Amino acid sequence: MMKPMIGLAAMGMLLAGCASPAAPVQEKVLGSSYTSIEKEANATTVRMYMWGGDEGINAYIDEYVTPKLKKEHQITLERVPIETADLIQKLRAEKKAGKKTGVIDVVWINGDNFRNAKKDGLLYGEITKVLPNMKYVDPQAQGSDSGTATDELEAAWGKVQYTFHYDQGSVANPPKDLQALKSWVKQNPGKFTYPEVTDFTGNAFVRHVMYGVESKETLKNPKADFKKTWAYLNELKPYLWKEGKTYPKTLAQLDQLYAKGTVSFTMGFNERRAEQEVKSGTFPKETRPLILDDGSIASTHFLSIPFNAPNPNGALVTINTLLSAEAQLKKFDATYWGDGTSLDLATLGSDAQMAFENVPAADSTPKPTEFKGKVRAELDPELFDVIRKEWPERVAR
Amino acid sequence: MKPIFVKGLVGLVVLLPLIGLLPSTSAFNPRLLDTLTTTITMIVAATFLNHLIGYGAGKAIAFKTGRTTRLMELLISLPLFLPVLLLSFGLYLTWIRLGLADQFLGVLLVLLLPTLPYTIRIYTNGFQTLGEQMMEQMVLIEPNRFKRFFFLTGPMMRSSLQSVTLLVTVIALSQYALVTLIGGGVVRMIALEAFPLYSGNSLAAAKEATLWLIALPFLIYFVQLILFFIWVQLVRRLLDGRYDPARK
Amino acid sequence: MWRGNAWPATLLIAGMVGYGLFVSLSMTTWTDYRQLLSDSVFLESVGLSLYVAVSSTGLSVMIGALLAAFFAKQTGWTAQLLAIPLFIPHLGAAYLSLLYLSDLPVIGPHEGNHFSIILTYLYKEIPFVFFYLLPVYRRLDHRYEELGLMLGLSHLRRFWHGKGVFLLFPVLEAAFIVFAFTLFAYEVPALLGVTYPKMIGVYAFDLYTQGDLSSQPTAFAISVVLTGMLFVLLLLFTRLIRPLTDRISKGRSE
Repeated sequence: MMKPMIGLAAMGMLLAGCASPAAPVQEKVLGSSYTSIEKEANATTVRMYMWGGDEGINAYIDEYVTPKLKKEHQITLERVPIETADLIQKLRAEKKAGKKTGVIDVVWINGDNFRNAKKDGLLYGEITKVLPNMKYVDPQAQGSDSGTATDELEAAWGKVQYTFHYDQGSVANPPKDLQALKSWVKQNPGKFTYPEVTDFTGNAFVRHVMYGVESKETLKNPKADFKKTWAYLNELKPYLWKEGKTYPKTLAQLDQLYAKGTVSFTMGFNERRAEQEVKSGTFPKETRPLILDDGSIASTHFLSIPFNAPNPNGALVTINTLLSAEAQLKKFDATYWGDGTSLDLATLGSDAQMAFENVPAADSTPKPTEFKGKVRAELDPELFDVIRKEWPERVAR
Repeated sequence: MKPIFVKGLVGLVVLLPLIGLLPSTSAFNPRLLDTLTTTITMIVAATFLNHLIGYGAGKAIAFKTGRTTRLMELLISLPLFLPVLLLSFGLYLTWIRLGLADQFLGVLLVLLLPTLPYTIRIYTNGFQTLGEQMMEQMVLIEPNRFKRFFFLTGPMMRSSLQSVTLLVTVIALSQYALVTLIGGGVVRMIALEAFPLYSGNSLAAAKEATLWLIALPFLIYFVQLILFFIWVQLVRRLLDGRYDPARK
Repeated sequence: MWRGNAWPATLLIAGMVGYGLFVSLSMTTWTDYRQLLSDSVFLESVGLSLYVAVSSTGLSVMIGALLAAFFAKQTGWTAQLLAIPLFIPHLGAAYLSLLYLSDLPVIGPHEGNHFSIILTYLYKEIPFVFFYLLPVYRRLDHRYEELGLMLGLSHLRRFWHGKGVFLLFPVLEAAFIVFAFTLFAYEVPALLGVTYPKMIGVYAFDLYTQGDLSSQPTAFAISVVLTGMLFVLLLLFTRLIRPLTDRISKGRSE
C-alpha cells in the first residue's frame, strides 16, 4: 500500500530534477546583437505578466500584440493576469530560494514596484541598450521612473497624465481645484469617491491631494506628518459614496460606479482612457475631462525583464515590438486602449508622425493646452508606502 | 408550512440566481482554450489522486479501530479546520527549492489539501453505510482486489465515488489564491482568468469565464454518469451469474 | 488488507500541514507575535471574520438542519434541487452576488454589514449542511422517541434522547467545517468585502503578497496563531464531545 506514495515521491523527484532548461546566460544575451537575439527568440514562448482588470488593455494584447508577434517572430505570447506587486513578492521569494530559472519573461512595472525591484536586484540588466527601437523613445520619459533612475533596467512603454473625468449631465459647473472639489462633494453627498490606496490610481489621488495642500518642504520629506492631507481626506469622507465607510477596491470598480451613474467622477492616469469607454457605451456620452489647478501628475509606465527570466531573448523581442511606432499607434488610438505614447514623435518618419497626429481626440480627452503649467513630476516612491501605511489608520477606519 | 410551499421556495431560491448566466453571445475567447485544457487536466488528475489515496483511507477509518486509526483520522481532517491558504505561504518557499513551484505537480499536490479530507470523509461514510459484514462477504466472494472493486465494491459505492468527483471539481475550481501563489500564473486554471475580471471594469467580460467555471462541474458530473452507466452495463454482461452459487 | 490503508493520506496531509506550519514558525520571532496580538488592525480583522463566520455558520446550520428534518420525511425529487448549489464553485457564487446584489442597498457588496458575503455563503453552505445531515435524519430510529413517550418524558428530554444525541455530533461537525471555511476563506471576501477592516484571509494574503518584505513575518505569525487556535478548538471538540456522544449512542443502541 506504500506503492502510491513511492510513485508520487518518484514523480516529484523526476520533476524537481528536470524542472526546466536553464535560461541563457545574462552577459551573453545582453552582449549579443539584436539580430542574433531575434534569431534565438524565434518560435519561443514569452510570458508577460500584467494586471488584468481592464478589458481594453487585455484586448490590445490578446487581439493585436499576440497575433503580431506570432506573425513576425513565431513568438507565442502568454498574457498572465497577476498584479505587479504580487510578482515582486514572488521574485523576492525566488531570489531568496535561489531559483535561477523563473517563469516570468516580461513585467509591466513602474513607481514603487520598480524602485523595490531595482533595490532588491530583481531585474535582468541593462536591457534597453540592445533594443533598436529605443532610439524612438522619448529620453525624458525614459530618464526616471517616479524619481528613481531607470538605469536602462526598463523601457518606457507609455506616458500619461492623471486626469479626472466627469459626467457633464450631472455636474454643470465642475470644480476648478481641490478646495472647490471639497465644496462640490459636500453639496452632492455620495456622488464622489476614490479607489482605496492599495490601488495604483487611489494612491495617486492621495498624492494629488498632497500636491494641493502640503508645502514644498513637506513634500520632499517622506518622514513628515502629512496631517493636512489626512485632514482634507477626512473632511471629504462623510460625503463620499457610502459615507466613506468603504471605497472601491480598484479603479475598475470606480469606473463601474461611474458607468452606472452612482458617482459623477472617475479618475486615472491616462488622459485618453475615457474615449474607448464612451465609444462602447460604458461611460456616459457627456463624459468630459477635468484637470485641477493643483496639478496633474505625469506618469510613465515601463516594461522590464526579471532577473531569472527563462526566455530573455523572447522578452527583448517582445519589448522591442511593443515600442515600434506601429504598435504604439494602435495602443494610442481608441480601438482598444488609448494610452499615451512613450515615443518622441519628432524621431519618427513623417508618415508615422502624421498617423499619430491624425488620431482624433474625443470630447473626453483634454486639449494639450489644458495641461499648461499644471504638469507635476511624480513624488518620491517612498510616499506610496507612507500612504499605504497611514491612510488605512488615519482615514479609512 | 405546507410541503409544497417549502419545496417551491427551495426551488425558487436555488434556481433563480442561475438565470443571469444564460449566455448572450456565442463568442469563444481563444485564450480560454489553454486555460480550459489545464483546468480539466488538473481536475482529472486531482480527482484520480483523491480516489486513489482517499479510497483506502476512507475504508481504513471506517473499518479499523484503535488509537492509531483515530489519530490518523484527526490528522487527515486537519485541513478542513485549519487555514490552508496561510499554511501554503510556508509550503511555497519549500516548493521553490524542490522545483515544484510554478509546476503542474506542485499545484496538484497543494490542491490535495483542501480536497482530500472531504474525499476521505465521504468514503468513510460510504463504507460505514455499506457495513463491515457486507465487505467481508464481498472479500469471500472475490479475493482479487481489482476484480472485487470492478465487479462489486465499485458499483456499490457508486454514490460515494460520484460525490468525491463532484467535490474535488468544485473545490479545485474555486481556488484562486492557492493556485496563483503556487502555480505562479503558469498553471492557468479558470479561476485565474475569472478573478481579475470580477474586480475589473467589465462584469460582462467576466461572464464567459464564469460560465465555464459553473458549467464544468455539471459537464464533468455528466461524463461521470455516462462512465458509470457503461461500467454497470459492462459488469452486468461480464458477470453473467458468475457469483451465483446456484450455478455451481 | 481489505480493511484499507490510511497511511499514504495521513503522511501526505500531515506532512504538508506540519511542514507549512514549521516553515511559518521558523520565519517568525517572539516579537512578531507580541506585535500581532497588540495590533488593532489585526484584532479588528479577527473580530469581523468571527462575525461573518459565526452568522454564516449559525444560519446555514439552522436552516440546513430544518430542511433536512423536513425533507427526511418527504419523497420526490425536490430535495435534489438543493444539490445544484453544490455544483457551483464559491468563486461562481461570488460572481452571482456581484451580478445581482450590486445595485441593492443594505445587502449589496462592499457594505460594512457584510450581508452579501453571508448571503453568498448561505447559498453554498445550506445545501452542504443539508446533505451532511439528511442521511443522519433518515437513519434516526423513531422507536426511541416512542419509548420516551411511553416513559412519559418531557418534550425536551424526549427530543434529546430520541434525536439530539444522534444529531449533536454530526451537527457540530458540519458547523465546525463551515465555520473554519468561512473564517479563513479568501476568494469571496476579497471580491465582496470592504476596504477596512478586511477579513482575516484577505488581510493575511495581502500582507504576504504586497508591500515590502517587512510585513511578511506578520503574515506567517497570523498563520501560526490561527492554526494553533483552531487546533486547540479541534482537540477540545474531538476529546470532549466525541467520547460523550459515542458513549451515549452506543449505550443506547447496544
